Amino acid sequence: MQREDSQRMWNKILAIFIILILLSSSVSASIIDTIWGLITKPLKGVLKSWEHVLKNPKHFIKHWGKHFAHEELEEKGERIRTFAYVFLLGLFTWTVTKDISENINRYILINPDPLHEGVKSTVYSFIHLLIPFYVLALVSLGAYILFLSTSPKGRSRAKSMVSKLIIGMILVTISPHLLNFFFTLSENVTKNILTQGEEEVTDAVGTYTGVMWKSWFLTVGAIYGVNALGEIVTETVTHATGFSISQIKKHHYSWGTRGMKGYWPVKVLGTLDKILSKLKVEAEPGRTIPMLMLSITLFIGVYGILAFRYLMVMFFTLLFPFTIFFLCFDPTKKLGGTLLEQLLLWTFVQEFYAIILVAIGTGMIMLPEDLLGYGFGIWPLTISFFDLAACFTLMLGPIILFMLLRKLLPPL
Amino acid sequence: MRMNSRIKILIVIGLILVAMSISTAVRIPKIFGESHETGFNRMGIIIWIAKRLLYIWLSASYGTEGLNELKANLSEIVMMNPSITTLSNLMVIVIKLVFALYIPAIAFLGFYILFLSSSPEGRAEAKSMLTKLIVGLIFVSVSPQLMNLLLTVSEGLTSSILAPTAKGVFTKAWDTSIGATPLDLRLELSGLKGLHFIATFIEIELGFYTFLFFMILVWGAFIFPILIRFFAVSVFIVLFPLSILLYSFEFTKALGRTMLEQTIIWTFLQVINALIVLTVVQSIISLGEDFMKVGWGITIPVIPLVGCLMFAVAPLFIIRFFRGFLP
Repeated sequence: MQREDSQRMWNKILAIFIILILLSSSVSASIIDTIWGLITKPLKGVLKSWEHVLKNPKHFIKHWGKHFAHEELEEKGERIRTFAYVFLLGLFTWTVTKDISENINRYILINPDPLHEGVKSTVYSFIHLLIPFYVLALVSLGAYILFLSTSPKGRSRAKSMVSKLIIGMILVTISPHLLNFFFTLSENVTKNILTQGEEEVTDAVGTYTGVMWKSWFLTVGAIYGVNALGEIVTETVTHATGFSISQIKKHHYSWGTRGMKGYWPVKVLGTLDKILSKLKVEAEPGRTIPMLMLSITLFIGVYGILAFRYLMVMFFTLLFPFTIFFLCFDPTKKLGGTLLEQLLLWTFVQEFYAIILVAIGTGMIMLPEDLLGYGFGIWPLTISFFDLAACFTLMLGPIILFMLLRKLLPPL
Repeated sequence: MRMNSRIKILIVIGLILVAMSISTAVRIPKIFGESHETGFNRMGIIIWIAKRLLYIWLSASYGTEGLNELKANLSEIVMMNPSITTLSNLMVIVIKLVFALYIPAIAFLGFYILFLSSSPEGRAEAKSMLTKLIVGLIFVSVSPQLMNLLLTVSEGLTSSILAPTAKGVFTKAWDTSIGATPLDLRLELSGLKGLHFIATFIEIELGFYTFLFFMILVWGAFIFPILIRFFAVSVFIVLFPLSILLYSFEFTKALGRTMLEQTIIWTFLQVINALIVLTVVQSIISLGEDFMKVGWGITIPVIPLVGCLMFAVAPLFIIRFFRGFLP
């Protein structure tokens, strides 16, 4: 409210000043002419030059080509290298953002298919591998009942273990179907979360792709930024004044003298050009490694975690017969419990991911608009802290939830 | 043989470069003249490209040097275990030390029964502790055989898991991740090698700091955990009699449990490694090669790449989470 009031007050002051300037009889026509000239002349010049370029694109390309051919070898190499770097990084960013926008739901929802021919045959080969272990467990239990267990309590415990082992045997044989049921259940829950918060998911993905693109923009800015500014000023000065840049460079510093007959735009822009040409930096891709690292981290943070989750679920899917065996045999119950817990947790990472996506999307929608742009960099090359934090939440959130819910099952 | 041929090629390329440099040095004035007149320095360009090609060839060879050995001996490397016979001398020393430690342990228990334990329950507990110690003594004396049995079971399981594995698919995952360049005499530019190739032409440091590191990591992440396991198992084999003593003595049971658990986990880590190979193979087969393949022109195969790097991360999860399974 206070903010709006102050904004309104500033608008009023500004309006009053403009009216005063326009209406004041003391304002001489020459000053207005100068200001008007300052705005229109360069604009006209630039427009004229662009008109010329648009009318003769061939001439322009030829001119640029000639200019390029006459550059020093190092400069040529630098131009090609930096352009290739920016182009390839842009291509990479484009493919990643496009792929994520189109396939994020598919990547989150995918689970190994336990009924796939290859997976099923491997699981059955493991079941064959389990046979000697089952024989050993049953024989050891029999020996325990016959020779070691003296109390009726111990004997009944051993007998219950036998029944557990037999139930385990049945479960092991249908383990691919059991897993298929569980994965379908988990997929449906995740699908529901993603469908309910479709808008939020789109927003969260938009935030991620936005940061990827901004990282690329920062790279481009870091490489071409200052030099491009210098080029723009030089071009503007040349086209606006009709003087060649060498002429301007020769005369522009003569403030207060008769250089360029006191033509203001030339002096202002010429000085700016001189400053910017001194600021000219070598466009080195190596200097943008932090931005490259940000892009790579964002890429690994999402793709790496999703792929790793899939592989871990596949790993515990293949181990599932062993999990059932360990769970059903008392001495290895704890190990079986840990294996089952890991399988459940890695499968639930897809739910965690969906929840985090929706949470990020909701958070971004709820944020006050004037805070959204709060970040680092100079406009338009800025990355909002909120966007960056959202991306890191997307990368670390599932892992944090995974660690928090580690004691999912009751102690066995 | 391969090394020799590589050295020969290296020498030939080196000689060509030296010859080029000499010819450049001789022609310097002329070239400089040409450069100023036409803005085009042929020798400069050739040297610039040759330098990068040599660097790419050398670094890519360096970055994949151990991979061929790994591909050829995948099963042997996964099934590698320390030899009990070689370590038996050290084990005998530890067994003797453990036997010596049994004397104060039994004496301590005797004193405990005689003077400290006043209740019949306490005495019964002390007696059961004595039984455990004696059982432990038997296990210590057969500890080399026990350890051998553990290793044999682990090896047997590993070979059973690796046998049906299409090892070719797994080695293909390495090949897909590493990729190829025209320097490998193949008309393609793919994988990490392809990215390294392009990055080097943009800037040598860019290729060196990013993709060369990943190139080594792809197979280094496989071999290093296996080697670390090998040494860890060697240490635990030597300490195995001590672990049994500590586990069988009630007052040091917690420490003994941790040591025995670690011995079992590190020994059976090779089964986990074999399972990871199988996991990656099954994932690639069931998902297809184009799943999660990002990029245009040069693509990054995410599943094979993460699968190769899984060897470095998954064992850490196993060691971290699979604890406390012994009673």
